[in-house]
Amino acid sequence: MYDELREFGFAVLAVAFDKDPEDVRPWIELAEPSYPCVIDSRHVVADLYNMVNVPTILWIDEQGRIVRPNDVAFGDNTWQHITHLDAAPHARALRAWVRGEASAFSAEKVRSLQKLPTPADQLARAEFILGQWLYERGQFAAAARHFDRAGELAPHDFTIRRGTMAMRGLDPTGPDFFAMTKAWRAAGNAYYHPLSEE
Amino acid sequence: MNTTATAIPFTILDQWRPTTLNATLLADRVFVSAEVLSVATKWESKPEGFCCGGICLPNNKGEAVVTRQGIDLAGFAELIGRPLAVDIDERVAALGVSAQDRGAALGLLEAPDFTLPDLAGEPHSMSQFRGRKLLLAAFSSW
Repeated sequence: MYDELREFGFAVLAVAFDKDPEDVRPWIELAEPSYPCVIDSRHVVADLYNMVNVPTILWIDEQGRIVRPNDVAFGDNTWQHITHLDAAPHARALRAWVRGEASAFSAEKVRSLQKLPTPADQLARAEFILGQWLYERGQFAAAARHFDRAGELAPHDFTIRRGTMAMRGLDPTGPDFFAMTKAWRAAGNAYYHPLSEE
Repeated sequence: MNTTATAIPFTILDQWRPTTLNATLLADRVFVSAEVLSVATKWESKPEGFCCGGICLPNNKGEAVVTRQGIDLAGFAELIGRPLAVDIDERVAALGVSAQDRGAALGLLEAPDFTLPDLAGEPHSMSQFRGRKLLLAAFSSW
């Protein structure tokens, strides 16, 4: 879709929340994207934009303004049997916006849809910084304590809870992950929060 | 409680920017000099309170924050409204960004800029896409 929309002045910037570029290299090399994919091992972008899971997308207009706040959109339906999210509605909306056939959200609408961080969310991110710093210095047990604390402070933040699993000796794509999401859903919570369901 | 405190090297991360200087540790609290605070956080301790970049916040906690042992780091963080994570054993603390500052910035709807490397180490900034419609897409291998 990127290649199809380029002529309309469209760009994509992909950001990977991965502690090690090598973890994400196979994915990027397989996709061979013609747009840049940057590695955000310290979750700087998650903090700046209050992102709490992946995938998270935003639309930013020619003036650098947010015209669609954090939303969940997959590039295709590869994982639809697990996520129960259809990639098509977002793709249609994006295409219409880029081609100038439809406008994005008004500033008022964007603000009403934005979720802003709480003090607990930001303390969780400070705990994440501390944990990541310790992990980078080989202090794995100490790092895990702070990652655990961060997850307790912001249980809805899966960039922390799932994103630190590998650094805590857990499997982020296996039984540990499924147990975490099962407990989360059993408590009445959703794992994904697309704007269409707000 | 052992009240004989000696200064030991301690690292303060200000949004990842590390400074390692002497601090005094008493139980679970960290105390630093005004000079160390200024180097590590760019906040100056002044008679009227704490100042940074032309903004001064009154120290309404007085000697509970500016103590004889030095400035209580947790008390200071609370005064300026920033989250603080501490590991006394590892002698490191991290100052994050306040929810208020993040919320205010996002509410302006101006997309915060950042610069990060791609797999080849080539840096990319979000601001380089000005003038185009941009899809910012976060993903991961997990």
